[in-house]
Amino acid sequence: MQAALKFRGPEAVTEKVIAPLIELGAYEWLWQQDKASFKTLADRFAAAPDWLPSDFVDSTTALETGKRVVGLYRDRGVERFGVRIHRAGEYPTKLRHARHPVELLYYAGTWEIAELPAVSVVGTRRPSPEGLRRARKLAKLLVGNGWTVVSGLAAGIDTAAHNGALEAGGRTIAVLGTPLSESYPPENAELQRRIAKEQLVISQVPLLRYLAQKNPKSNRFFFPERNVTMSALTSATVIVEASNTSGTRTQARAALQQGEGRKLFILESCFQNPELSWPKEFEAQGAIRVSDFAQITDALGQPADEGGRPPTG
Amino acid sequence: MPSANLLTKVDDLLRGDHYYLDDADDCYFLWEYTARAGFAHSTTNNLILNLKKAMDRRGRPEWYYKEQAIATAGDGLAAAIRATWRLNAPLIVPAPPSKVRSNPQHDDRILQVAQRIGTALSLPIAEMLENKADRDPQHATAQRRNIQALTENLQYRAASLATPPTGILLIDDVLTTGATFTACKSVLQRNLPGMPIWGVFVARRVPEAEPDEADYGDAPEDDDW
Repeated sequence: MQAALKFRGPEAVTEKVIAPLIELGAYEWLWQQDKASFKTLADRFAAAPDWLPSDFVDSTTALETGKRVVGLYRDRGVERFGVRIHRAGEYPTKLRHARHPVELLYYAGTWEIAELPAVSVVGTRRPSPEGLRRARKLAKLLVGNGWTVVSGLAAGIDTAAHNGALEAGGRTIAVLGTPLSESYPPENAELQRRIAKEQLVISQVPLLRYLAQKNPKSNRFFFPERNVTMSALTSATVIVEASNTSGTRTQARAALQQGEGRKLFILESCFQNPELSWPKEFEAQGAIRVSDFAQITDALGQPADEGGRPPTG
Repeated sequence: MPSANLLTKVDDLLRGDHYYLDDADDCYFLWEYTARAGFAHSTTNNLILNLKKAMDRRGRPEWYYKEQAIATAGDGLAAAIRATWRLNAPLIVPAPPSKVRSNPQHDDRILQVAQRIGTALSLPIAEMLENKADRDPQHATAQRRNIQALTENLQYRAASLATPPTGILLIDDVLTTGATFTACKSVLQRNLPGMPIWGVFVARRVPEAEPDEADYGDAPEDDDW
């Protein structure tokens, strides 16, 4: 029977749709509330696993906040950026291995790089010349073996790791302790621009909260937090040369805690530093003491395709 | 604990990536990939490449990957639609193949994706749209810019349904410029005035950081590539 269609219209009830501008506005709003931290936010979402950031705030406030963030990013030179939101497609499930998983992060560049098998290379901001040489050489070796090098764009070891990967024509991801629009140290602004243009820069730092801090030191807590994300994004962490900076230690702890086969390598030189006791403590908990880079590549084996769907035939 | 991904709406943050869409368009997608980033093995790019695998590969061992991609896309969208909406009697309409039925390259992958969604969610499906003539990728650039030409090439077929729908879920694989969606929506609403149309895509293509002219021209909209 060919009946003419009659429609009772409209109405689908919209239950749960991710509108990225509203979600990023809601996330930024949550970060403006008292006692906001990665832990308190993760606790709120853990208590309400069906909720999106926008479920915590009215949609008008979320939308206005989102627009403000986009405007501020534009004013500060970030014209293009993307977001990854928990429960939307493309959100990396490996981020859920973190103790306090981030619900939303910003990125600039080619997101697909985040899917590639990766290793974090981190260490002190004030390395020895030998430490710098090792970081660069290790990064080249890793990209030569098919790994993406992830680091934090800090001075010292991080910078050498990014540069080593780039010099070898490999892939590198910078996970910032600042918003996408800020650079620390400032002299790495050009390297950050290059990685955002050719590779991938990721930030979990809320822009409004960061800019609202009168004292720049108050934003320091974002740096070790990004090390947790670096570990979550990668199959292994290599600590090239250590200091007592909290970021390196935080990342070592995260690599051990997040499990799922993640490996933690600590180069021999870290054990030789009489001021540091934690390399031995982490070794006792499963970290691998490395005197030769071949130990790293042997232990890692060949990078596996993390795609999870069959290859193109 | 929720497991299914939710659909993402093409809102003010994203709409600029899709030249033909305006704020009256309701479009949603599940996954994303970056245009020509050289990542054939990224999960989503790989899924789309397999989904669009040309019909002349039928019978080869690689055909398995196309069938798998159809299943992944259909099941992923079904779960996302279920998690996203409480819908009151919508109708599923697949975007039409770019080649006519008599063309050996005629590919009904979108219909197959739609059928998986319809089966999973117990929703009716109607092929309400068909292209009158092949959309030739070699000569499509100018046409693609011309919504009127795309619209004129579409044949509307009324559906025969026991229960009248309250809206249409227009299913397609990739959202690029939004030209195909705009043309399909225009033809559907001309024949069904006032009918809400939701565009539901397996993936959206994110333009390169510095889009060039080719991003709006040469890259195939829904042809095999």
